[in-house]
Amino acid sequence: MGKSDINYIKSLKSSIEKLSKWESSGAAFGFIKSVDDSKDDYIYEFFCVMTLLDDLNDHHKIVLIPGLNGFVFPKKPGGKANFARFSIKNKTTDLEEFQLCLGVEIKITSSPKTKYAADLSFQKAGTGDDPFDTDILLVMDAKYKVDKDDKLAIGTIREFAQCVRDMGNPSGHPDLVFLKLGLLKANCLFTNGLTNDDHDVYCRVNNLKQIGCFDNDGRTMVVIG
Amino acid sequence: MYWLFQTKKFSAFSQLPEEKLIWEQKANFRGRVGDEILMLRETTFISVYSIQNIDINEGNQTEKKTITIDIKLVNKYSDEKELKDYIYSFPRIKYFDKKTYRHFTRKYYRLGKIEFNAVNDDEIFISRSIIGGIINSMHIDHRKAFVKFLAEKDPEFISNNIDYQIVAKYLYSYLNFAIVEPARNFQIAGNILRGIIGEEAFAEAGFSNENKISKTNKVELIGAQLLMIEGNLENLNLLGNNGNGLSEQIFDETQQRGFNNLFAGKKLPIEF
Repeated sequence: MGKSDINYIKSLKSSIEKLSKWESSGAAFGFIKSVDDSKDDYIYEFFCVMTLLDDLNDHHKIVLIPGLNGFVFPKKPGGKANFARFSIKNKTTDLEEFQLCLGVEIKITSSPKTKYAADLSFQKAGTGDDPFDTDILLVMDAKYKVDKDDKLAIGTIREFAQCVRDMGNPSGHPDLVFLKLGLLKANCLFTNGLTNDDHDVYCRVNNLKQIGCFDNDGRTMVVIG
Repeated sequence: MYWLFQTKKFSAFSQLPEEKLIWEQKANFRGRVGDEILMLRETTFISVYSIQNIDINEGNQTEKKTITIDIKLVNKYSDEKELKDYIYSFPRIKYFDKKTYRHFTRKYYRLGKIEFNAVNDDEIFISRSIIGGIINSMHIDHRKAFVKFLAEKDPEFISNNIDYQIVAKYLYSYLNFAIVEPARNFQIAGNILRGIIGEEAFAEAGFSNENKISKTNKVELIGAQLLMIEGNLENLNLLGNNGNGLSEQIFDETQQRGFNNLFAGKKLPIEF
């Protein structure tokens, strides 16, 4: 009580002011649902992709390739040429085996005006700046839940299933080798919330997996499908 | 009784142990000998005086009265007491930003004992100060998102009848999912990225909203953000990991009851 409360509140205010915005630009930082021009899941996507790369880094050599904007990732889906992507290489030969892209628009061969912006996409080695479904090895989506006890909605699972179909049901590549996260060599729908276990069969039939409790809090990851 | 005097309205005042303040006004001055005066210099509380003598020269009915008071120094604050640290304990304050000082531009104001003690003894309205302090420190987009979140949970809070304990619970929940968790995820991801790509590329690595970078569309640098998170995230851990930290911190205060009555019907202290 007294001056110590005032000092506590002062330091709390100062930390919250700093943590709620980007240091570089002053734009809001964090998860914001109500702001239209912000892609709200991008930080969680970044967490998912880096967790995958941390695991892949054991067997593969990983290099960040700059886009026209340099070593910059998109907050919301954009053109592949503009943004940085990861080149996943063979450690021995140093040749690119795969590409891993964040938020890249992918064209569908049968209907090229209809694009799908995958949160994460594994693409074939040498894929150019204008990727098509035929270049895709795996697609992944990330759903950040405000409430960690929330299950993935069937609507979200169905929507992702349609995206997987649009991409021609990709199923990975034998040379893509994970260390501990082998179960994630699939079209994954990540969430920090819970999986919807009723739709296990639906996920199997539609060539996708729900990855629940995928977070920083020590819970064990749950894989359905 | 207690009073707040804005010292810049009394040019002769120079914080001596004993002072004489003289001014003119049409209305009566209701102060009495023994009343205590909190001195506010612009936006800093500097001292407390007590009234020793009051002389009111009535003049004609149509003219202003000349008021002379003798005051004696009771307490000169050694630590600075900035108005902004006490704004959530004054019911009259409706602006919580740079406009706050507008509430204190007149010569003097009458204060309640609770308000006076809030400054003099640092017995602030803790729950309202923490809630208001947190909300108004957040980026404006977060403030808007929090109001939306709160309105979805319980629209009553937007209009009136604030239950600070329940608002604190929702605010903690918001802070956690909207700022703390993303910051932790970002910290983990950023450190992995640094390890994989090396310091040179990492120094330039960032995020952007747009396809083309321009002067108005800056790159959000990951490295600078990581550094900032490392210096500040720990501070928020004080709020507790189980969601109760904030509530425990601010509601174990029986002497705060007076504030609850003083602020009955006041709206959520939020500035847009």
